[in-house]
Amino acid sequence: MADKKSFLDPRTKLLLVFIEAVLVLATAGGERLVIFKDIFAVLPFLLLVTAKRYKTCFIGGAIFAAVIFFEYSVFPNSTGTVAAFLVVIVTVVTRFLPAYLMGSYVIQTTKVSEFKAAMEKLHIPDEITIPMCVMFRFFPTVKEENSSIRAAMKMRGIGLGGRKLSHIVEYRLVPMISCSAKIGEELSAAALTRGLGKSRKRTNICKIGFGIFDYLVFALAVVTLIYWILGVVR
Amino acid sequence: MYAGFGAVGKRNNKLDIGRIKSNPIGLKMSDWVTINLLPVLYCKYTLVKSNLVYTNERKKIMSKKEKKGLNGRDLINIGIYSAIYFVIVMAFAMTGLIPIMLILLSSMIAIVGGIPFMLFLTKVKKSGMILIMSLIMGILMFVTGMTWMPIPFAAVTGILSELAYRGGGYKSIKSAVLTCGIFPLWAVGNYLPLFLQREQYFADRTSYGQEYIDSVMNFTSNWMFFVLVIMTFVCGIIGGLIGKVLLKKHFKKAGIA
Repeated sequence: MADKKSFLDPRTKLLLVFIEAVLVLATAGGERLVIFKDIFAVLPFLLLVTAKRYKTCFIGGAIFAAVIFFEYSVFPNSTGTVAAFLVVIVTVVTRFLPAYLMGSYVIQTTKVSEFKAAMEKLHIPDEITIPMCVMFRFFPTVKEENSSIRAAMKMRGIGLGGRKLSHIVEYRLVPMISCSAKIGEELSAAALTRGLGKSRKRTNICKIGFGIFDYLVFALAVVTLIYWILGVVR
Repeated sequence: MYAGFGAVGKRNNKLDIGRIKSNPIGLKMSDWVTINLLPVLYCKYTLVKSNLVYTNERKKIMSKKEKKGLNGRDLINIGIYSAIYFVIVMAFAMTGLIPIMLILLSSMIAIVGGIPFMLFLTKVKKSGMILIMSLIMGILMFVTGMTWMPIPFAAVTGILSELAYRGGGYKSIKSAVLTCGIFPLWAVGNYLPLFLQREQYFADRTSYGQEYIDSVMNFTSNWMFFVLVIMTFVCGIIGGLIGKVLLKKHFKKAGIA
């Protein structure tokens, strides 16, 4: 796996996240860009299929379809508070879901060293990238600790249901934080021995580069931009 | 030979020059000096010199590091505590999928996040760490699809909380609680798109009736944003106070804080 390149370059993924945020979430360009908006709304689903994340893709697709169905069938007939609630749901889902799925695709498929390599090529300072790398490395650890402590506390009968809130904080949150902090100290020592604390420039064996799909995405983005500018000029 | 003289000197606790005359091989005084004293003096000299060089170099390196600011350990600490903070915050933010809770989300984040954040503040000894964590929160929001607006907003609130903690010299517990109040304001940045692009959004929806639009407009009017900011700040202070209590009760004992 080490020398195998991922489907898309990390930089392309970042561009995609940006496009999702601008085009789908913020609905830039208005009515004129609707076709492109639809393309970019569908794109995360295709990408999730290529990454073999069928479950995420299916759940997201089901929610998306259900909400669109609601928007066209129930929504025009409802009034008052019901409509007020519906519009919030429709807004949140139709605009946030593609962007959210794109984000989860990016996080799930990008390896830490790939991310670091891409960031180095983009000349992002270490002060931002190193904490982010450590964070992405650390997420699974925190989740694992959380589930272990949940299991242990279930045995003592301290769950989320019924008990006082202070119990949850003291017996769930505090041990989780202490465990993670301790592991974090060890991780920090391990990372320092591997030269993370050095002021010298680090090397990276990860090979990243643009493939055909990256160029396709970039072409699509450029076409969208040109189409948008043409509309604004006219 | 050399070892023998050394031993004698040590036993009498001073150099026994009288023994030299009576030593069996018959060393001269000048020879004794050359083989015994000179090497010792030379060794001492080089040791002192290298020690001096070492401490000087160390000082230079340390000062260079101090000047440069954050070192690797600090950056790793930021990453670790960001991860803990984010996981805890997200576990509670999942309730925000219910639309009504969406408005209360930033306050909830402020209360719950106070605990890991107070712990993080005990590790902060240099300027920039809080700002970086705030920026990372903004970037994470950007990646999870909250538009680019949280990033500049998080930068501003990060600088503010940095200044608040700097005011206490990076150790005052009072300013730490204040920082706990200011820092979670990054979460309010997530609401910015809802407020700023409201008109544009509703322009497309006039077909649904004016009454309906009014009701939603009231729900998200502009003053609501400032209410959110103040609410989040107050909740952040509460979270900071809870964090302070827990810090004293648990984390200090566990040797983490």
